[in-house]
Amino acid sequence: MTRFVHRIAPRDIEHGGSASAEIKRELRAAGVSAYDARRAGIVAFEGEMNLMVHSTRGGTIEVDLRPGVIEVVVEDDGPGISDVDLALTPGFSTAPDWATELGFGAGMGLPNMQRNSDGFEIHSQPGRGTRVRCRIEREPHPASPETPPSSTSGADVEKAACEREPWEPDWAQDLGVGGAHGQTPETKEGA
Amino acid sequence: MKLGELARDLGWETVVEGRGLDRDVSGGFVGDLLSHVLAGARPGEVWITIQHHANVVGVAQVADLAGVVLAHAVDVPDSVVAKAREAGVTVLRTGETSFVVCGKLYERGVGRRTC
Repeated sequence: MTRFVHRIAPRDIEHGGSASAEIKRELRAAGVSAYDARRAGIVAFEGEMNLMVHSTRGGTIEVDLRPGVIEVVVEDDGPGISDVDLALTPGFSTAPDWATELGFGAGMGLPNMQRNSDGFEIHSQPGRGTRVRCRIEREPHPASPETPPSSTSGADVEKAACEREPWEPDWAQDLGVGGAHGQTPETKEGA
Repeated sequence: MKLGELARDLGWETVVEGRGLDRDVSGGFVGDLLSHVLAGARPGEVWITIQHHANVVGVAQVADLAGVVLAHAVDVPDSVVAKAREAGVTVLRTGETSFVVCGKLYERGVGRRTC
């Protein structure tokens, strides 16, 4: 088993994202596929942003690489989340103004972590801290619409655009913005 | 079409060359909310944004994007330039709005649906 641990400082905008990029590099160097390293990188990035924006004293991102599985654990010792279900609701955010002005606080951090994981657990206690554990099962796994096209020559790019599914993740419907490309679910069924 | 060709044709300023100029652009994504970009952008796409802080580089890296186009003539801090250089992330800049950049890209077939 290989383990990488990164310490994240609170409010450290200048280094924000550096640990996640490093994690992605470390995973690639350890033989993890581009697809899996990207998923783990996104999970780590969202965790890193949460630690940077919300944690009282920073926290850690720990990545365990085992045969078939990547586990990413993001942990801090405060302030904790009083309503975890609410925090997991797409679009809900408690990010302060300085963070939202920089494009954080879309209320999609935890949902993005969940979406890029095959297993997701979150435990939090106000005053004690938060621990998020994401399990990513490594390839081979069923083909995903997110798998990048293997070739990107001109004709292939057009084909890829045609094959690209309308982007309508679950949370978009939760936010009431479903129905990509102007189609309502009804018209899709009728098509 | 390669990102470098698009940059030249559309008159974008190359802030950091990075490793993306030779990449074929597989599509595009526009957004200023970082999580939105991580959720929706695909590998190899070009990202159009007005955000211009260090985390933009991090997003481009983890999402494996071809490069970033900073619209609206935003100022790029030296720290961001340094971080992008170190990371090999291509950063381009234009005075045009995100809307116009997207329109011109689409006009050139980037991300266009022909079906």
